[in-house]
Amino acid sequence: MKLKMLGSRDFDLQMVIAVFALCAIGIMAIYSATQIDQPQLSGLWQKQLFSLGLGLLLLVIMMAVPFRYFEAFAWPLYIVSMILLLAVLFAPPVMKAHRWINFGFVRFQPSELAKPATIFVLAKILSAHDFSLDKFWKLLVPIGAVLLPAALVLVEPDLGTSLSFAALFLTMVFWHGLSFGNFFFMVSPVLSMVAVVSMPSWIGFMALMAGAFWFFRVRFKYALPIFLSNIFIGSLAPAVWYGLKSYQRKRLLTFINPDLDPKGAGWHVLQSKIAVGSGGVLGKGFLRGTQKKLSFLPEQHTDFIFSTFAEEFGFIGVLIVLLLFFWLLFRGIIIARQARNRFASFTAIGIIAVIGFHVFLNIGVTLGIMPVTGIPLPFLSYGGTSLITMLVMTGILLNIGLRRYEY
Amino acid sequence: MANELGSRERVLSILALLTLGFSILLFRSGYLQVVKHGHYARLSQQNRLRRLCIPAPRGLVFDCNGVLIAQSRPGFDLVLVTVNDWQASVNKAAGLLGLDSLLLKSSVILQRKIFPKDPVVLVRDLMPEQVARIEENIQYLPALRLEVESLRKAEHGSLASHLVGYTSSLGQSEYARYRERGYSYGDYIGKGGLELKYENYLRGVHGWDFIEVDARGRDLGTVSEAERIEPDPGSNIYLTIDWRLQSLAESLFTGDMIGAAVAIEPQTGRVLALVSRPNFNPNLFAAGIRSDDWNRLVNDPSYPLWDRAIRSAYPPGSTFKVVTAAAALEESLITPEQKMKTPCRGSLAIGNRVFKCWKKGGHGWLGLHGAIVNSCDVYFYQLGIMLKIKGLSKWSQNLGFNQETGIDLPQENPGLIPDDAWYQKRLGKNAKTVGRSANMSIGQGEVMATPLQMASLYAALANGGVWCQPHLLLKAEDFTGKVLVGEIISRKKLPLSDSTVSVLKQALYGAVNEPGSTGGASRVWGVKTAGKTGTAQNPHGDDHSWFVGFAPLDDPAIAVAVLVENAGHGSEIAAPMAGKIMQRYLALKGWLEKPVIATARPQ
Repeated sequence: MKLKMLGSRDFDLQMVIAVFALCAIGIMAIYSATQIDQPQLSGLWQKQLFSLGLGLLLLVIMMAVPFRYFEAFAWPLYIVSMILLLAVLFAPPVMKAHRWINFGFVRFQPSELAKPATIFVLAKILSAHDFSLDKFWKLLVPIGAVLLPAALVLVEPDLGTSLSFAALFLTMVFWHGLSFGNFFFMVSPVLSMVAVVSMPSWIGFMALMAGAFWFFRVRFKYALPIFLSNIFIGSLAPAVWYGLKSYQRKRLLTFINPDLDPKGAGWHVLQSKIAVGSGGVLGKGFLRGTQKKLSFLPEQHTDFIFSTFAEEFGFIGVLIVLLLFFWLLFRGIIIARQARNRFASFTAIGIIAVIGFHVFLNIGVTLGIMPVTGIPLPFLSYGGTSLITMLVMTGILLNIGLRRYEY
Repeated sequence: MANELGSRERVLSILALLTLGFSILLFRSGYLQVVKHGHYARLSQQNRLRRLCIPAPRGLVFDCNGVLIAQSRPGFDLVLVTVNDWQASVNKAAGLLGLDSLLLKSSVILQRKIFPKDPVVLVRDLMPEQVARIEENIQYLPALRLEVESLRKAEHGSLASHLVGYTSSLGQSEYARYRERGYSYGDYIGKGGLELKYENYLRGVHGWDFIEVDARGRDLGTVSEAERIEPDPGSNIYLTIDWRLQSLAESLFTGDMIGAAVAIEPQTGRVLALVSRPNFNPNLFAAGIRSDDWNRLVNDPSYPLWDRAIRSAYPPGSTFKVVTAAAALEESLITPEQKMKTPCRGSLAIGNRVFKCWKKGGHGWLGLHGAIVNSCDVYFYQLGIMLKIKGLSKWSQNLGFNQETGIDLPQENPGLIPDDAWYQKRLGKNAKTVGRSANMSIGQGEVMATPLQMASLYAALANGGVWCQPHLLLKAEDFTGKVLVGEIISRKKLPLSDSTVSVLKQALYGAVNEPGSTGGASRVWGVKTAGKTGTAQNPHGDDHSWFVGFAPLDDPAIAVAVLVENAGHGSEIAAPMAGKIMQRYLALKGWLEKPVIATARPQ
């Protein structure tokens, strides 16, 4: 990369500004959230600052490497990260989950590396010239490529990160041009299981399906099995679920999602909502938050950083953070659209999907509209691996932006 | 190239989805921060939201047949719930209950220093009439509330109190240590016996209720947004103890007899009964022990809180002779038939001291069998001199002395077997230890063993030389019925040859059944009983009375050790008690209904 490229029209300065602003807000929020009577936390903002420096260095390197190298190294990187994901299952658990490998001086989360690696591999598969989606079974290879890391992450267990693989897969397949109809019918079984929580929502979903059959003019011989299998899956879910005893459900839920913590989650979400709500329009002011002193540690500087921020900076602050994220994602989508290289375009949209999913799920949890899932807020949450991964992915986006007219 | 990626339709769809998602977040934020701001601002003002602990009931303790030994009962507490204007209520309550109001108030102030905003428990476990009096006057006590908590109840009072242990509430200093493990201030925790050992199983996980309180700290009801979280009850534990045998064994200690009894199943190491007398009533501790009760317990010269079965080491006296005999046989110093150099004439001169045999007239020439049957001290003095301290300490160690058995109870005493190094430290480098080894050979002098160790060794002999670790836990089961941990049977072959074991078993049988033997009072009609009495001299007073034995000889079902402090001869006090314990157990197991295979008395 030549220095003058930074002055080029294709260097996405707006995205860089948005990311810098978010990182600065993150450091401030972490500082505020950790200035409580827990001296072991008070220096975390400095550690985060160090990770930020390292992440920015990597961001610049990622920008400099021609993206063809990512394509060339996609499979080796994928294999290495799958091996690490396997290895982490044998590492000693931290807070009941096998998410970290401890190298003594630094703790590393293989699932973070697996995100870009999986994006590269999917991009490579989907961008191949002989790959088309004219037959449904052709999806099996990309499904396999994403199912492997998603399953390995799920058994760590880490539900949130596992779902982020689903998000990037669906987005990238959609980007490839899978027809709306097929896309809808691909996700419909999942929707069926979710919709079945209440009778009206399930009836609504069935009506939606019928509408989709009519709208997409699905032939009867395809529509009938799709419809029946959706009814089957939907009706099976509650039968299995309510067939379990309540403690079995609790055990199953906490096994899949240890962040759920049936003894603490309700308290966390309630405290988070009180923090956000009591912030009001203007907020209580920097370092003036009172909720953070209450006991929803240790997540208030990691997964619940948004509620600390929202308490101190109010609705105005929330608006600014949401706009920054929206702008970052919007610029990313522009880059994905303009990239002429198919691999680069897929990579860009995959990265956008991951960042967007994290933002929506994390903030949704702190606002009490999503079930508790331990997933960090990009650029803001405390945590070195997460911050560095996000900056690396930003670097890749900027890289693709710089070379958007290259084939 | 034809690039269908990023077509207008795809980009617009993704943008629409993105906008939808962010709008949801924005509207939700606006709803919380603008529309509901007042509500949440009120809740966030300090003290407004409180998490009330719903204590989990402690797990139950059962015996091997499902007889309930320890459970929980409700207790009514008088709790101070408001921060302001509390003094009038406390004064009034003190008057109603006849308590010192100054004392109550100072305890409130003390606890407020640690937990300024938490409710304060004024009085724990009110009597029913006190509850009634408070309830009648509750409208005059605006700062107070009656709360129910779950308290420990030992079903059978003081029976098996040492074994089961007791619970008491966490004090300030302990709370600091236990908070990491999820305990709250005032939680009940096992403080002794199995309640302590299996605390992690017995304790449950607390539930929570979320309540909103007013500025004075008064309850405004639960917050609907957060669901009440039900507690998980603690796990139940099942013991190897047979309650019928335990209560019989306890009843044998009549009056103010002090001592211990241990019964073990030889093939498994299951402890069938474990008695220590005097005992205490664990229910006194349930809601915090009163200071006069506590002082009475700790100042009692008979130490009722002390578990003599596992924590007290006594000189084992003649019951230890099997160890000396086993050592001599295994070191090939003697053969079973061989007579000792010097016959017993009632005493033996060693150096310039005279060591007496318990029988003044002496036993004459004896082989090993006869020496054990007659419990001849002079015979064993000579074995001790041959073995020296080194041989005796090595074999005692081999047979499980000077070490904990590893029973699943806290604070087990390892006993003491002195070795050469120990004596050198005690008596100087070149001390003569010949006399000491003679004394040690008959279980006197510095040798110390717990009743549990003795029972455990005889159980191993009964079981053909295979020692089983004594244990009390059959299983722990969580409240859903899932078995968390099962019985752990751990076996170890003692380094004794089969012939040694069989010689010793025959000798122990003789020591109960042959003429001139001392253990006759332990005989169980209809089965072959084996065992050894002991009359242990001790510096603190009259001799301790011992009996350790097992039955039936050929297919042992139970091994028993009984010790009665300062009660005199083992043959008169301990042996009949052990006999009754074995008899009862064999009767319970149906052994005594079987046809009698061997006559109880040879010759």
